[in-house]
Amino acid sequence: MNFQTIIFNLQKYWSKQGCVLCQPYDIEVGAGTMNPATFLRVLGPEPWKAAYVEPSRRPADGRYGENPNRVQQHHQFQVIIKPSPDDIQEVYLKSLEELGIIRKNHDIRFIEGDWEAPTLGAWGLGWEVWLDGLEITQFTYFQQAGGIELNPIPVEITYGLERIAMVIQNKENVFDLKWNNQITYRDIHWQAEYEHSKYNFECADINMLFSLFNTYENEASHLIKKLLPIPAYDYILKCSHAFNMLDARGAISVSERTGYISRVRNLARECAEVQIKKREEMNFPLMEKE
Amino acid sequence: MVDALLEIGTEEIPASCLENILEELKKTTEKTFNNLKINYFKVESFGTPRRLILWISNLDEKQKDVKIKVKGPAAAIAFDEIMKPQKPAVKFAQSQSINIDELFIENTKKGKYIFAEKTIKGKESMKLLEQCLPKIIQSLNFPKSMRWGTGKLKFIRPIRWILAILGEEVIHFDLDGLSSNNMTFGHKLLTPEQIKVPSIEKYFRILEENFVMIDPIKRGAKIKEEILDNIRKNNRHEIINESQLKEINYMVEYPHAILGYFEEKYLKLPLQVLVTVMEVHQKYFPIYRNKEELDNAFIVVINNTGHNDKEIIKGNENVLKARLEDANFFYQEDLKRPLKNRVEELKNVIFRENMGTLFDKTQRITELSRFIAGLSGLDENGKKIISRAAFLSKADLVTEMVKEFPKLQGTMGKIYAFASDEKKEVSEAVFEHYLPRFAEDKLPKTHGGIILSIADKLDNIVGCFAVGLIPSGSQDPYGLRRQALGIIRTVIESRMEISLIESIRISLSIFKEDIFIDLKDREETVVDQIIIFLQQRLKNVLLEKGIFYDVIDAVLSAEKECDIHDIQSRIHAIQDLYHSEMFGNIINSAIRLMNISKGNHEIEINESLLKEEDEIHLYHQYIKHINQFKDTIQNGNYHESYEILGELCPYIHDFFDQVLVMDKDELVRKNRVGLIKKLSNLFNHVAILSKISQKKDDKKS
Repeated sequence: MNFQTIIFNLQKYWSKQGCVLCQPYDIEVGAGTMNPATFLRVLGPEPWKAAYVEPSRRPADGRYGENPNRVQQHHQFQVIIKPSPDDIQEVYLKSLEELGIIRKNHDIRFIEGDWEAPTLGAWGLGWEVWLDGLEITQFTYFQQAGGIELNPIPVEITYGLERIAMVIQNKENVFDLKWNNQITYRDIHWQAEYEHSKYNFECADINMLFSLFNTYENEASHLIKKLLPIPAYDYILKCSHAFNMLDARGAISVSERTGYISRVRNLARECAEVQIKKREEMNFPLMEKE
Repeated sequence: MVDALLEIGTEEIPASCLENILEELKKTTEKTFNNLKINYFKVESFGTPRRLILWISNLDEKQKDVKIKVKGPAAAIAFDEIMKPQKPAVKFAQSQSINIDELFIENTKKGKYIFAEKTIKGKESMKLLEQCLPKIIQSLNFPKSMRWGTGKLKFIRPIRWILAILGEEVIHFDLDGLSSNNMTFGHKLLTPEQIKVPSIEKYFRILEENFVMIDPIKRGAKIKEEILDNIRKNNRHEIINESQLKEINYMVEYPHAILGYFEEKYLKLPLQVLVTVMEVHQKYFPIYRNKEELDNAFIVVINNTGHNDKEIIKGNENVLKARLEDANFFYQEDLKRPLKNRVEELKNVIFRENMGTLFDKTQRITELSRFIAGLSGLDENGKKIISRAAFLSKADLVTEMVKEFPKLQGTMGKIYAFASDEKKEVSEAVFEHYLPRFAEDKLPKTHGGIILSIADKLDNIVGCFAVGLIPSGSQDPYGLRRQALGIIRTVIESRMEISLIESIRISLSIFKEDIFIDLKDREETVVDQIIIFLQQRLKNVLLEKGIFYDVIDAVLSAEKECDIHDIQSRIHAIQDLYHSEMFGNIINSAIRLMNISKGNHEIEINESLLKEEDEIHLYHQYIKHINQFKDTIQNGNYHESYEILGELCPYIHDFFDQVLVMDKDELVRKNRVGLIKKLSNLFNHVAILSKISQKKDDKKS
């Protein structure tokens, strides 16, 4: 099964489960969690079901396209459902069967794995899902986001698409994956991996990134005051990415590091508060769709 | 009599918590049923990651009946003079639903009152179970709990079904919207369907048939047997990591062991790296050729039957290969640079908020360990080794290997130090300075390791106390108690002379200079707090050695520096003398002296004011023995110190017999009390003897 078929199948499956098929966000994010379709939607009482692919950037994980397992941008398939359904583990296991992974023939285990995103003020409890010893999914019941206790509780399922594809296609190198039957992962991503690694580690203009961080932070803060949480959140994402870039570049000293993280977290918290207030003013419109 | 069964069906409970939960489930249930006064034969708990099971066998059909006495109004108002019941008596009888002639009168402390005796009929076990099972479930404690869906209930992981039956009947209750019934589920991968359970007897068979082994003991035995079977077939060394076995046991419902291999070339990696990758990261069991040498093989215990071993092991081998390839890459990269060149990078890693970087920490413990080495009389060569080891001690934290496998801190430090041509003693000290890492861990053995280990832990404790991060209750985020205990065990076992109080003062002054912690005038308070903190751990260690609590308490109340060896000598002296008549006299004297001189200060004795004969005798005896006494203290000869006090006892006895302390003349009186104070200080110098319980005979047994 090639890479894009895996995506198709997951989309089809989760679409059948009633999920909205969202698209990757148009701003750099470190994980599918940061897409507003997750972060802003898990807040408050409104039900929400969504699934989408998220190309996720981890500047520090770049290896110039030389490491068979690490890339600075990987693909997550993200599912977020609030409130978490009672049979969600069963629903998840069935989704693997859509990928040809028949559960009775494998050793699939749910291994304790707590999850935390300090810049988003978010944490949850759940598992790493292991398929024959390989972690293929993170399965988390969110407890907090933006520092706010969540109620009802959403469940987040994050598939690591490259890893699943490597098992399915029996490849030892991510770049050997078949994207479709003609084009490989290497064909599509190798140059980007190399160039971004070069950029992230060697070329990124530190002064520009610092000044961007401050500019984005001001803008986010300004927009929160204007009670515009959605555009504000875009600038928080930009802040976060600028921080990740600076971090990969080794430009943030230790003493400053916690400071930068808490600046982003504070914005995320304020933004989350405003977002809930706005939804409340709108009488939580998705409540009636339940 | 019937059996009752509860199965709480959950999503996967973390393996590390399961054993405790099952124990608590059993204990809470026993306690509940004992309190309810209902008979049963046995409560047992079983469990897998997906179910907590409670089995109460031979439960009585109902609670025992209980007779109770209810107090009513005073007899004087309830009855008139001719014992005719009045309105209060009638009302009381009504309220207790008994006849008036069943009321009786009893004397109480407050006079005569009327009473009613009632029999409370025991409730049926079904009713009791309906009420107490949900309470038992909700009473369980977890390190971290969570909510799910729209529920309010907090539990370690979501509860998905509750099976509760008494014999063949369902015990009906509701837990946060989830109703109990007689349905269970089989193995998640093999037979995931819902199954009806008609009776308890059938429950056990149904689960067995559906690939669920509920008994951890049986599961553990199956795992062990299969692992050993694989080892024996391949003629390998028979060794199984028991704590690994326990963890894996709580991750599976139907265990099955499969043998897998990795390429020989990875055996060039350090053994600890291979073991960490396999055990910690992949949850495998490494295979050994002999005690010290690994084989290029491993065992994975899967949660499935053996029908598809080939494919499953292939997957595991691939994952392990990628992991080992990574580890090998890190190892080769790390070896390219000598360890000493990493030290500079520690400037970029924060140690702890307000406590500088790891580089700052390195500098602090270098200084502190040099100082401790000086105190304990190490030679120049020894000091050089310690300085070097301290300088390198944290450098492995910025190597790729330790960043990836944090558990290997210290271990990699030793390997990389050795590979960078550092002295063997230096490498060893780098490893040993993290010891002991947990309660039963080994202790550092080399001088360098011992001193550096103490310096490192003391730096953690002093730093935290200085910024106010003092452990309290269950709050000890930096594991300071464990570290204090580590220091104490290390000092005791190594027998090295190390003044902890001096080391604490130096450590504090280093913090003050380097990190600019503003202690204002709290410095001595902080020192005292740390000494008390260490003393508390020491107390526990001594108690574990079987030393009486009162003896420990008496000595620790007199000794304020936490000089562990000195404390032990004092304790030994007291224990030697504990049952002697002389020591009994010494205690009596010490207590009298202390009581009378309480609140007074030592003063210079004016000989001309000593009037009474026994007073003069006592004073002369004091003068005669005082220097000798001081010598014994100086030399830590506490046994002799008490011999001297023993000699003074008869004079003290006579003094109290013959002399009235409270003389009319104020000057005489003050002089006399002054003498008593001097003696009291002498008697209570080694230990505050009033803390020693004199009911010694009780404790002999």
